[in-house]
Amino acid sequence: MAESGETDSASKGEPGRKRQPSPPQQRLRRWLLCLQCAKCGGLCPAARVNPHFSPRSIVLSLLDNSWTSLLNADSPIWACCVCMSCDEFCPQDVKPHEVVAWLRNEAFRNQKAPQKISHLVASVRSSGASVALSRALLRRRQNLGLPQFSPAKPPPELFSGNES
Amino acid sequence: MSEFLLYTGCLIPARFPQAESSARFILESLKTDVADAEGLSCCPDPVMFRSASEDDWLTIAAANLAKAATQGNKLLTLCSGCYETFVDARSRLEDADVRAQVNRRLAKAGLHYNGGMEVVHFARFLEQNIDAIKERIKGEVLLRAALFYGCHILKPFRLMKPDSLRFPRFLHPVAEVCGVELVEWDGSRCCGMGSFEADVSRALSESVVQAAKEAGAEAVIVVCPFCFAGLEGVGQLPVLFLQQVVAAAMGAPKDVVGLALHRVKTEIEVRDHVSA
Repeated sequence: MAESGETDSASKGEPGRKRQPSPPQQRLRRWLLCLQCAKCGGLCPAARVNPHFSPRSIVLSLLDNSWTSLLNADSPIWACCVCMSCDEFCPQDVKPHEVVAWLRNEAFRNQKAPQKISHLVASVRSSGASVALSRALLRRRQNLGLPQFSPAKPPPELFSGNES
Repeated sequence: MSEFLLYTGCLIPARFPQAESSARFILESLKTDVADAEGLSCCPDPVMFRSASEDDWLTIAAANLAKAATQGNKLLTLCSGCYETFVDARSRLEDADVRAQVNRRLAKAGLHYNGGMEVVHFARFLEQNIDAIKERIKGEVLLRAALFYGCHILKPFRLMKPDSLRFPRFLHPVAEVCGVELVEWDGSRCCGMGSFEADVSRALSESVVQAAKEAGAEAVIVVCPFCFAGLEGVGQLPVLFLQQVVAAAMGAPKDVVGLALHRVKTEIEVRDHVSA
């Protein structure tokens, strides 16, 4: 859905059966333009403080088709801060952060993402908010004379896996 | 229909309500035509939630935009995360095919998004209203500070349209009109809070605070609650939301500015224009 007219035909397979993941073709064509120039890594704040993280290597995993090895909770894909500097300055418009985002989605879909993410999605689903509310916090609001904080739950139909 | 629709997001109302009370004070002082957005959920956030499913992120953001469009003209966000989500989602949904796909999902919940809905970050609202703020300034904030823009009010450049990616200055006049002396530094760094690795987040927040100290700042001024959490977590410099500085200069009572809630304690000293 991220790019015009791009549909994920593989996901329309038999219901209940885990589909074989494959990169979205339209975006993959752009990702494969990567020159491995490493400009992304030079700008990357996460790479500056974590020498094991390199946006260039993550894009390389698509070029050499080794990306499924990155689908786990300890993968370097989780170090990315989503600052989007790499997307901004990539001379080939590869958008390395977009690759990271797609790999994270694949990891989550395959239940190989950090648990934090499932907890956050569960919280948004059940309360409409990403942050748990305590009585102490609500009292703080009262003391500041603020109205009640009452987010609405998103309609359950809008979450993947709830479409019938 | 009101002109502005205030969308507080999650992190500010739940963790940093002083940013909300200060913003509401400013909106009231400026007599802004604004109402609270009703019936909206978490934006959802462009980092963690989007890491789960970009499709769900876009669909739920579209549901929020659809609901907002029936209530007001401009969605006013207090958080750079919400801002990023709505601006980015809105831009993706300008594509008719993408919008049609999302609308097929929204239809199951009886919703439809027609496009549109201007999204405004509260800091940019302050920038746009600087003349009206200037007229209502009651005193001078005596503070030497580093103004931290963070990432999501700047990027993607084509959507956020800042004056510069590396050395933005578009919010400088807002702090300066309140009397704040801003130090020269790189305020476009990343606070690191978007990382899932706590060590990465901590190291980046520490390097930002270190740079602010080296530039001679007594405090860091931020426009995003994630940046606030990261930088205050370092524990070495007070951190303030831009709207707290503006509200203080506009004469907001202390309990509205809410500095008592800060972990790194600070006061904002305001020199009265009349008595000075």
